[in-house]
Amino acid sequence: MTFLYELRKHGALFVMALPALILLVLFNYMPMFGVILAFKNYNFYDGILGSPWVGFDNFKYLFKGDAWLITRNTLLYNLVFIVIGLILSVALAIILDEIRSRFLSKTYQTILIMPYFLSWTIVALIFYAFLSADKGIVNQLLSYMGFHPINFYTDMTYWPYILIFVFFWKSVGYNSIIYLASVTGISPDYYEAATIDGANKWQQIRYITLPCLRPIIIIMTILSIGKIFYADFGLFYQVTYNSGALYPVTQVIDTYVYNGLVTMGNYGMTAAAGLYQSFVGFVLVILTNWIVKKVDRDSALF
Amino acid sequence: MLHKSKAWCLSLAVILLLSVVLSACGGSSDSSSATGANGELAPVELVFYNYATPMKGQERVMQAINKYLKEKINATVKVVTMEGSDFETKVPVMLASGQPMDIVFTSSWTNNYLSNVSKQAFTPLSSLMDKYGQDLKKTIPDTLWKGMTVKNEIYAVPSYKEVGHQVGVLMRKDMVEKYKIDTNSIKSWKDMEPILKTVHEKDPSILPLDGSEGMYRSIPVQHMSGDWNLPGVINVGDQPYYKRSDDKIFDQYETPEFKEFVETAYRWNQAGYTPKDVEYQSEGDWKAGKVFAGSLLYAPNYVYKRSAQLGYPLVYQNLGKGVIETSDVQGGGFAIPRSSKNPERAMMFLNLLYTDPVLANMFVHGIEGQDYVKVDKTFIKPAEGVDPLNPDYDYGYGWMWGNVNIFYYDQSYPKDTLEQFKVFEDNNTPSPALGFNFDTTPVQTQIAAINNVISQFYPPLVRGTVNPDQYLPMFIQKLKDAGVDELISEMQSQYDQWKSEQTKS
Amino acid sequence: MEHTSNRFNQLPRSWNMVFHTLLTVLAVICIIPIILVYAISFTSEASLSAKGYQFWPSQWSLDAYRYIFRNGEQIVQSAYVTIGVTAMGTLFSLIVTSLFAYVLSRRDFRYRNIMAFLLFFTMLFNGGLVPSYIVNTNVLHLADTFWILILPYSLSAFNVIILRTFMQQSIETAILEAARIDGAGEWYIFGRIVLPLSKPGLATVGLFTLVTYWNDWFLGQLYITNPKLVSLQYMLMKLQSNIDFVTNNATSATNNMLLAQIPAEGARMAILVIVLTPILCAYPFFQKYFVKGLTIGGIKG
Repeated sequence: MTFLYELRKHGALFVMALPALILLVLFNYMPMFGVILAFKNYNFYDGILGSPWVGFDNFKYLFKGDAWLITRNTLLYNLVFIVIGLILSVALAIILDEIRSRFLSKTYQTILIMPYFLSWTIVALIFYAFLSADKGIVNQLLSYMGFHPINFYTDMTYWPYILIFVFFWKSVGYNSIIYLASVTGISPDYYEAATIDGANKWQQIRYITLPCLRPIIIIMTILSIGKIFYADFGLFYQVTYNSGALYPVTQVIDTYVYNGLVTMGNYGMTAAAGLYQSFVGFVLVILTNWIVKKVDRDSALF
Repeated sequence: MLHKSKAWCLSLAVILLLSVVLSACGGSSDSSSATGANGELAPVELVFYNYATPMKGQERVMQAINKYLKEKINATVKVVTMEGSDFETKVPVMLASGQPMDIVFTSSWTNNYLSNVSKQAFTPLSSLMDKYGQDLKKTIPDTLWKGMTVKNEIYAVPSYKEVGHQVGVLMRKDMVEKYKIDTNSIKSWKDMEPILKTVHEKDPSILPLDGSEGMYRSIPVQHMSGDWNLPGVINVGDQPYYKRSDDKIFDQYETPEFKEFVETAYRWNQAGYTPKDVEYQSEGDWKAGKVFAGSLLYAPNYVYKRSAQLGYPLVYQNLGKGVIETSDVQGGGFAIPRSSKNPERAMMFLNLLYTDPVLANMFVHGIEGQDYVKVDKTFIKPAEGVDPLNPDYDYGYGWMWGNVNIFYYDQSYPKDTLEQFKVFEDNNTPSPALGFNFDTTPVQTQIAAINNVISQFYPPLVRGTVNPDQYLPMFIQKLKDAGVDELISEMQSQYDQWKSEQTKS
Repeated sequence: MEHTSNRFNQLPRSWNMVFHTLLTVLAVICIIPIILVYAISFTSEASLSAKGYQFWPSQWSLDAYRYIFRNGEQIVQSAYVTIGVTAMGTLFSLIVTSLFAYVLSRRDFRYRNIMAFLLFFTMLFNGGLVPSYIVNTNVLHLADTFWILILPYSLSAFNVIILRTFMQQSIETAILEAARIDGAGEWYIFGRIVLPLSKPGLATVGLFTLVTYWNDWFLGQLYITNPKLVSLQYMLMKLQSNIDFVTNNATSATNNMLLAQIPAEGARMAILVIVLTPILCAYPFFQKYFVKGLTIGGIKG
């Protein structure tokens, strides 16, 4: 009954949502039956529905060998990416918005998003040009200054820093666009009023800009928490050249799954990995969303 | 609150129902073969996915091929050529989702044969071959058929090219002569050390060896899983390394031989004989003449081709004898997927492809007169007006089209090209386990974990970029943690069973 | 209210200098590799192998571009595909996304949370490669069509959620209430009030969508065999993966022969230049929406 009532009252809204809902069903929910692959030993003859069930067998390899190390790496890198990424992107957006020259601000923006458009293969190649043992620019400099060259791709000490640097180098400019657009959406009336009250620029940022950014910051954080068990494959696989000697600090869930399954092409085990990663993210998001709801109802995701 | 949860359930249920219903419409595709094979053949179109470079003149040549095929078996063929990751992405997914196709390329290195067989992707071929592929069956030697056999059934027609594999070293001829190196004295990888030393001392600007990794493959074994990196091998032939009982499968990484190899590789790397970079790309340095030697998997007539390509003469030396193991046979082949509606006609087509020189050479070289002209029985040259460096249609050596013994060769190939294949085959020792195919299903968990250990330790160890004193014990320990013992014992029990079946039949 | 040069309203001069210095350093770090990419694409293969990467090639060459344009017809065709897909896709996606985002931003809409949840759920869970392939080819019959390059990316949960947040933040419920009392219908409110007020959000989401379509090679690699539908990125990907595949398997003799025919790094970089340049030129178009004060006009108009 409520449904019919709603339909009459908000008919237009249903129509507006319809195209999106159709797309969701066709491209997301219809293939969703495939999650059962995670519990099956898939063979093409019996098909997805007919293949034999194997319980949780497909998940076992995710908890074997270096599982603990891999999970730790994935989590720690993502935490750094989320927290520092947030601070950097927001700071960059505010700075770009506040500096006095419009022209320079636009120029900086354009340049800072450039690295985002390079594929990981090209990024890997570029950093290889700097770090390679025989011909790398860094090592040429080191030996020119009389230091011992460093074989970066077999020495894991530097890689946590290198990976974090590469990640932010590639993405921070692009990610700051969301906050930049958000900052520009804040009504100028607020600032005008604050100026009249005699607030200086720092106070304006502290008391107007940041509070106005709060909803988008919360949403962005919730969304990235959902992906906390996923790692950027290109960053950890290609930029490191999948170099074995670096594994203790570079191996993450996604590279582990890839290295383990690439020769076998086991669809069940691939599905299991995805389900595991999603499930953990899902639980964390529900939890975060629940907390956010308690504090600030309007900022919650759903 | 109640309303709310109701609505939730309702919408979820609707969506799930929709998904199941709609996807059920698509999933299954029964391979009901409705071909009336007696008397007149109904016209059909065969879809053929092959691993090959797409050619500009493909459409033109296909017209000629189809005209010919129409007369022979009243079929036309739609060939889709792809390579690299394009093939690797598309074809396995098409097979997994049951897209209609009649012939598909499968091998040990892309679109994996064994893994497809275990997922029941292919139609069994024995009975089809008895009916429609008698000539094909006779053309290909037994060794090859044996290698394709999984649980007494054949699922793919093997590519008939060089049989087995040999590892050797390719060296710059001018330097070999200049430093008076006796290439005949090289019997195994160990004999390379003094040579590399000489080269390094006499000319430090030259890289003595483009990598030690390939040399490890010169130790003759059969890799029981078919994957050359996975632990579990047996000894092949009467040779100085890895001499063990032929029956016992062992972890090659735990042997003193492997230890010796990685220690040597490390020594070479420290001495500067091999590159220090993880991803060293040798091709540019070869072209620039900055490399002395490299190891490779040899194929007949290769040295000649490579010299021509680089523009300077090379000498080749085998490292010990070659081997014929199961995975060599699976270097390439054609399977008929379950989704094929016309498996009979597909088999007739394969039969022709392997035995009819006219058809095969159209696939390899195009149309006679337009793309090539014949010089004699076996040799050809490009037709008038064809740019040999950028031809409209030509696969050169063309192994991806089946049977190299019925192909024509460009006149620049050595006169004994075909004999070379025979010599090569005769020089290789067949493995006692040739034809044994390991079923990985019971140990998939272990293999996934072991693959990770391998990719962590194997490349740096055999390349000599890490110290084996520290890394080799870790490697062995981690293999144990990942379940290598379970893998080996599963292999052993499957192998024992296979052997008892062999003696029975 | 022309540019009031109130000193409170501007950054102190000293901090302005600090920020400029900081941004300049960042900009240099970001632009150096790009310059390198452009430089390598114009370096001759011989000097690349002799001297390595150089910012100013010691020997200039157009060989890489010549190699790529050997397949001139395919490039032109691919460019059409990419431009067509990007333009159509971005437009279509913006319409669907903004409509849905608006619905989800309406606090008085009862099914808002369920819909938001259903949307978010797809961000984490998916059926995987093979089931999607089965649905798209066997049920929807989209393989080897123009639409397969557009539809799967047209609704991104991330974009909808971002846009919804923008809308909630920049549009006050009071304005909508007022409009409704004046007798405005839902469609009128959406078109005349919500959309103009959401310009920065739309520009952001539009840019993201455009980049997604422009950069995509995956859908092509999976679903497209017809050369007439091969996009630029997919072409680049094919070339690159062929180089990678062949070099990884270079120990086998057959592959070594292929290796000699494939152009080296120069060609990779050249193709990158070809796909990168247009999108860098397009960015300023979006940029004009990221400017303060844009929203006032919307309310008063």
